[in-house]
Amino acid sequence: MSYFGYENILSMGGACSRRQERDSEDSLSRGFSRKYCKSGSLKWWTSSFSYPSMDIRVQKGECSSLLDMCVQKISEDVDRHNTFSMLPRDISQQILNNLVYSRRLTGGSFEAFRDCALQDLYLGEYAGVDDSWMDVISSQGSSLLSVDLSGSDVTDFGLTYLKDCQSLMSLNLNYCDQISDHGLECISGLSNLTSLSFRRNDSISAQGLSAFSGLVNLVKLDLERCTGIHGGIVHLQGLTKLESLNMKWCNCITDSDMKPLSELTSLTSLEISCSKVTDFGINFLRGLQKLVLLNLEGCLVTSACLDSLAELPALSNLNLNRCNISDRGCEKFSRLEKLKVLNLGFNDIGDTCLVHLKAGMTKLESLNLDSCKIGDEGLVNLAGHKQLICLELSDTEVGNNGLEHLSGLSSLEKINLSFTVVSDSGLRKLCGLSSLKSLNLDAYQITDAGLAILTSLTSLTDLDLFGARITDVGTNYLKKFKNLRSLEICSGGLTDAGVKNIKELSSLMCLNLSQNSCLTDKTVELIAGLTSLVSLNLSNSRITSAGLQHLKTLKSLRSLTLESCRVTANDIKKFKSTHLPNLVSFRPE
Amino acid sequence: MDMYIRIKRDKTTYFIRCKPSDKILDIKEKLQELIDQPVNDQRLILPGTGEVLEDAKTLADQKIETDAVVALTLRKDDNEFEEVNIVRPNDFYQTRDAEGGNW
Amino acid sequence: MKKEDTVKLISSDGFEFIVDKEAAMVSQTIRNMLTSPGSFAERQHGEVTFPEISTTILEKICQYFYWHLEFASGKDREFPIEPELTLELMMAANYLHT
Repeated sequence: MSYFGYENILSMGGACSRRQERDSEDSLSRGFSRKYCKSGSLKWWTSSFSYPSMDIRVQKGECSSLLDMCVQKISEDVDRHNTFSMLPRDISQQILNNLVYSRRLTGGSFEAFRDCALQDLYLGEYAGVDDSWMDVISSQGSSLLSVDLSGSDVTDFGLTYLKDCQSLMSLNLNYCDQISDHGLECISGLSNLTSLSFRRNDSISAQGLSAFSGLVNLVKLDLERCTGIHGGIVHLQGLTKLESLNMKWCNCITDSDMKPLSELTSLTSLEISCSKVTDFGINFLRGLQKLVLLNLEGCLVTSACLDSLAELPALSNLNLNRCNISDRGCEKFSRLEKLKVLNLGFNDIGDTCLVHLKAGMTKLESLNLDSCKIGDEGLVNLAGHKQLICLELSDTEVGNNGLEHLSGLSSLEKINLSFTVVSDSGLRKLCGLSSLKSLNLDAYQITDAGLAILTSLTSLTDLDLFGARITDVGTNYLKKFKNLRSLEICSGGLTDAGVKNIKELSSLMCLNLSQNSCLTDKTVELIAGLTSLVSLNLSNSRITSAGLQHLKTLKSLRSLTLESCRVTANDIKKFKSTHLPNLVSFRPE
Repeated sequence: MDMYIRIKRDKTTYFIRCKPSDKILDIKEKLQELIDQPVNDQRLILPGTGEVLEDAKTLADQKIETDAVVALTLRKDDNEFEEVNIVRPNDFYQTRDAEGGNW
Repeated sequence: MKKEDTVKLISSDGFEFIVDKEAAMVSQTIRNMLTSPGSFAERQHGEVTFPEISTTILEKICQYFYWHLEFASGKDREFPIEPELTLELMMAANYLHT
């Protein structure tokens, strides 16, 4: 479990939406080919989609192996080759991975991989994949272990080809909107499957899930956003090896669907966020002795469900974000002694609740109180939680006096104080938090003077000053934060002169300087040396098409946002094709 | 490493590391270590033109760049030098010839 | 240049390539042959025969060794690969861990 979900602390989008998008990981894990990427994030832009990891050899100083060169060469003129079936499997696998990664693979060139005994076919989000590819997939026979066809046009008919792939252990069919219950029947015999994923499928019904009843080796099942499966959970009852079940955003799921889950005693992770499950349904989970993670975000549960949760001896990660928890009955929190991660954001709870957290939860490492009615007095109760690593206090009533109680939290690595009433003088209390890596001070009353106080925090990797009133003067202090990987300053006070100080921050991967309307092409020239950048936003500035030229050096760049600048989508497209091979998202587009 | 050249005779190829400023004589001295033939009994020839390389000239003088092929001939018993003799392999012979045989 | 610092690589049809050991050891497989106690013959005679690698491919491999050394000393020259050699070269590169 990572405390650095960059998707939550970074929003590289426009100025208007500063509230984090809920469950943003989901909206991001969709491919770039469809327009679901509302905001960028470091995690997203540095991950390699669902594709196999490839070492990208453009980096200077890396000497390519001859094998890599040959794979690359073959990939470049793949149409010369009719078949790779004479090659050892691991080599044809490398060629395929290269073709997928470089997007050179077509239905035609895929034919060359017939009978290659390939083990992995990661074709998720790959354009053009449809039933006509299935015959070649099927020809891998019992060698095939893992297939990802997410986002493809494969239909129920296409799935019939998988019958020959009896060894298949992992199958991803997310966002395949042409697959319905009939298709599921085709995979009902693949009893070696340990991982199966069918995200966002409206056609699968309760009846369809009966096809899963024979998949007795299933360890991981992902049915996120399958909106028609209510009543079908009963067919999962026999899957006693199931450890992870994701039913997030299945808003059809109700209390009655919880009953069959009580049999699944191997479950360690259960996600039923945004379902209709209530306190009554949670009762059925009492027997899940191994459950470590429970995600109830957006469910209608109240403090009354805490009695049931207290029966779960392994539970350490609990998400109650946007539920109906209130101070009434919150004394039961003191029984959840094993919790390490607790999300109580957007609940109607106040300082009283924190008293009960203090009483029981000695292992708490991450606490989210976003938008709760927490004030300075409440934070007294956190002063003893020395093991806290991550604390989210965004949009609370916390002010300078409250920070006093946090000054001793020496393990703290991440704190969010955006939209609080904390001001410059209060920041002195944070100076001693030497473990701090991520700091969100997106608040209007924070100024250059506050930044001056924080220069002792040299471990910082992520600093969000989105709405803070930082000017060129303040950027002088940024030079102390040599490890910064992401930085946002967007309140309009920066000019090219301030960017001179930012250009020293050579570790930066994400930089958002949008809304600083005085920035010119000079800024682009200055940041040309920040070659680690993967995401850059300079929207609402005076950048022109001529300024693009300076971005040539940013070969790692995957996201570029220049809304409301003097740059057209065509300019960016042209520039991308010649200079920025890794750019996958750009605006305007 | 600055550069290397490939010196060929019969079915043998010597990969020799060198510098553009090396004289032909320097190359022959390196060869002497490997083939036990005194420099006087060696002759280096550009296989394309048949030009005999002079001891005092440098590789740069002769416009010999990295990866270049140079033919080696040795002095025979009758004190004459043998003809250039580089045996080509049969494996990719035809295709390479078709593309102009780049050695 | 000393003879003992070189190694002779012999192709399937008996062609010989005399290269610096330092260059040959760009290949992990050859490095193991020349350094591991199990391969006495190779170490003793400084000779390795590759019955499965054709002459053209073996020469290309040797050229890669030297290209690699050049690269390591800062020369960024493109390494040319003729399309008709690619498949066989790739198999050899795989075998030689190169």
